[in-house]
Amino acid sequence: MVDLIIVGGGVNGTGIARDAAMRGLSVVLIEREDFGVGASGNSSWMVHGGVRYLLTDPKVTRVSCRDSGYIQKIAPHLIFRIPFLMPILPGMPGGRLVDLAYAYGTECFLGVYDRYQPLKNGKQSTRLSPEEVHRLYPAVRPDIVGAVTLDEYGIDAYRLCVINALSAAEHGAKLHTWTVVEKVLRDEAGHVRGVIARDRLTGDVLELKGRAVFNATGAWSPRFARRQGARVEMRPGKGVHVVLDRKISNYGVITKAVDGRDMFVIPLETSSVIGTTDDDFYGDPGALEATHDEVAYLIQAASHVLPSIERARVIRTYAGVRPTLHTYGIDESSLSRDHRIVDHASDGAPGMLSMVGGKLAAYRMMSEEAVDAVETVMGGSPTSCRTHVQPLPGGTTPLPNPIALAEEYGTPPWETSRLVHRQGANARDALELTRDEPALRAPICRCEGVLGAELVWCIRFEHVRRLVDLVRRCRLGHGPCGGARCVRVAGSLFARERGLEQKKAEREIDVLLQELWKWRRPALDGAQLAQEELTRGLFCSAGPTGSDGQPGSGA
Amino acid sequence: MSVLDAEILVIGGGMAGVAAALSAVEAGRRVALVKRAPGATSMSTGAFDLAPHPRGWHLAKPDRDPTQLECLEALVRASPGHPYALIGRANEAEYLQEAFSFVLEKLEAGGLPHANFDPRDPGHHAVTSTGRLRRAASSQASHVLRDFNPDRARIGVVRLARCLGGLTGPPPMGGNVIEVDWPSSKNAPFLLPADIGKLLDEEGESRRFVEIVVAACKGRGFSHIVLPPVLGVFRTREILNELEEATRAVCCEALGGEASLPGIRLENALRRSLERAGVTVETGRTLDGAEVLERRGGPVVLASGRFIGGGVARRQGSMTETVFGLPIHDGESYLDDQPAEMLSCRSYRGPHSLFRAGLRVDDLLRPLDMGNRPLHETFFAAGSVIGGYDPHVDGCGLGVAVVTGYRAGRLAAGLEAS
Repeated sequence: MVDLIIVGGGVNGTGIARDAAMRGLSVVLIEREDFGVGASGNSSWMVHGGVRYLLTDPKVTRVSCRDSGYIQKIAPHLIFRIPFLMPILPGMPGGRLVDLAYAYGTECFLGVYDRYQPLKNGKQSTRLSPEEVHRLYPAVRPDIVGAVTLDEYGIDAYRLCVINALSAAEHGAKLHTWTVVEKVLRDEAGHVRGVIARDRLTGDVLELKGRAVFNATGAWSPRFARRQGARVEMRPGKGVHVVLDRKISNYGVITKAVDGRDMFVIPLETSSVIGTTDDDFYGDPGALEATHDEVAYLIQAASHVLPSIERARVIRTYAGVRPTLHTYGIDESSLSRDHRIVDHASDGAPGMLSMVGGKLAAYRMMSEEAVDAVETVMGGSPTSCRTHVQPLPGGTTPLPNPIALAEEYGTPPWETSRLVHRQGANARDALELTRDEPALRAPICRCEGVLGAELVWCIRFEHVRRLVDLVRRCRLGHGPCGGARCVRVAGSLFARERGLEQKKAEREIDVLLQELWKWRRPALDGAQLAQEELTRGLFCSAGPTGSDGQPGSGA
Repeated sequence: MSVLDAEILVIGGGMAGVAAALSAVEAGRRVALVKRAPGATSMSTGAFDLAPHPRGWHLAKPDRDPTQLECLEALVRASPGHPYALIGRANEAEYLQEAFSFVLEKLEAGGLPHANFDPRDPGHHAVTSTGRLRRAASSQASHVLRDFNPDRARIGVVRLARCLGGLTGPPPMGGNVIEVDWPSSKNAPFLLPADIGKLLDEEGESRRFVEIVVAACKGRGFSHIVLPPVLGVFRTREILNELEEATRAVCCEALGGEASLPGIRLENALRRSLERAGVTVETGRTLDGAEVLERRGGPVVLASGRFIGGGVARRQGSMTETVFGLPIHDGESYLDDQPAEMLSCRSYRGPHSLFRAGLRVDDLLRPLDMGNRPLHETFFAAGSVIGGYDPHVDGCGLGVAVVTGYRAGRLAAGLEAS
């Protein structure tokens, strides 16, 4: 019997697992695929303050800013600053005076937001002349009236989930990825008392007894609750992003879509990302794909401020479903980004709780509230939370110097700096693997800068159960080559580490290729098609996989 | 004189365009070839494939393999829209032999010897970049795994610690991996196969390399040693000879993977064979189809490739042939502005009509208009600009290039017209 069974391995599930385990609860986490595969990993990867909610939901803005500051303290390696430009476009009805008045209004509005900036170490906003804007970002359309800056932060959202899960495990939590809940158990009084789950890779059935079950399944939570006769009110919204092959600028820029919605183009790791759509979603969140019209909508919005984007190379898309709070009768963008924790005692499933809504930036605080609620449901009172002061794995400062590490271990410097970004204080331990095996100094993924040592480190110590999990650990396959260079090498390292026979290794590679194809398919056009043809040549020309290529004995 | 006024004009300088130009020269014509930049041919693995093994390349019982001709027949049966199916003669062993022998001899004369091709035989053994055994209709001579008997062979596979994307598969050939740290200084950069090839073209460097490999293989009783495909752009044979002499084993290169050095060798050999044949070559040029049509009376061969070569493109959702703006067909229907997800399916391996996109041609390789008539009596297409097949899944990119290129050149020269 454990205290808490958490279903869902997104940022909420892993955040709750960490908090609960740090408070001394015994915890099991069950995730049907891998950490962050839903809305968390498919988000905009911003821990932003929510300037958009300043007028309607100032509480969301304040909480997001404060928690963004905490995340910087507990995961300093994983976070990166994104200075934004908010260009003021001409053409307001009323002529140039109105344009200038609008620019002034924007400046005042962001001036109010500035009051929250100290919470997250952000810089104060500045008004820029058109000349200054074009010096910083030459691709911005020539006729702007000016721009106002604002400061935000981004984070590797997959890794944020992963290190929360790893931290939970350090505090005693048990993690079951690729495991699906088949049944929720009740006692005679109808109280939820655990689950029966099945490991999708081994087929093993687990019977887990627990004092409470937390439904942190994001877009899947209404369905999960419904199966227990309970209700989660949600208005799911599909959000699509488009990824360009390179970082076109160090600045984010805010633009407007054809329907007037705010959109952005941001530098994200090695690429640029255009986001995001927000449309009511009624389908199966497990079979989510972007479509060509969503891609066209996003590119149109980006090219409104950055005209040359029309000729940029789109390498892929990604899509997620926001588990937004339900309100009837307003449009998607106006929905509140606040969150709610639901105790199902009142609707027929005592012992079960669900989480709805929220922002990536506020995950830690939401997890804290959730564990408070769990402790209350279990008949106690909330104990103290330390997730805002205790660094996440790899987050211990000072972080190692990547150039010094590269010299010491004979690894290429850029790839080593990416390792420090993703692994933080653990980078040195990962590089120690090269002492026994110098071949691991080689870069495996040249798009995202992944060393052999990083791959093996993840495979051994970061709860990687399938090859495709590496997509979430170290951005494997995220780059412009679409995995052409890295997938086979990563596959052979994975097979070696797990002792897989060739057929199973090929199967793992196929699953990974299929996942990457899902991202690329809706956006195949222009120069990317040539890359796709080359990648297909490398992976498909060998004919059907699975047949045995070993030349038999003698070897 | 402008290339547009040449007796025969070939557009595209990959395998198909070169095969067309050379066979037209052989028929006594004066030929000009216009080429934009290296395309898919320059990324070749080094293997010439005619058609895939019907059960996949990876052979459980190598001694019971179908012949190349049988593979081709199975492919034609499975995809009736395939260019091989259109050209009746492509199914004849004599014709295949004639086309391949012609092209392979020219490549040898251009400095790049290839294995003999015989359609009545299963092809020779080679090792893929992932360390697996397969057959190839032909390949660069350095890739041939000679005297291979699966029951007796003891294979060693060399991996270079500093080579990016060398032999990367699961422990190849039973796991006899020979790690070779060369160039061996601790902070030496990691190199692409082409950079290593350039280094090994220097005699001093290749001697050191051979010494290190020989020392690592000594006393291990290998009958065959497989090296990554990096053994020089020009000195490949010499390096292999030195290795074979010192190790007494059969030494060969694996086939290329991404960033393929064999592809670069092939590109070089094509250029040299065009020079030897006296073809006027203009590189870095993109032609305007309208101008070509206006200026020319004589035959044109379009061999501009698919997406990599740039002969076919999809731009903001519209499919087009890039030189003449011809309509694009997938073997079943015309493709115009359908969204990408309608031209492909959810499964990565397909089938995707997007990757069968190209021109529709008749049995004389003449592109057809939408009314099924040839656009022009002496306008021919060759290679992957022809649609209706997926060269990567069918594993027949260079095979189709050789057969259609050879035929298009002869048709343009006035031969073979049925």
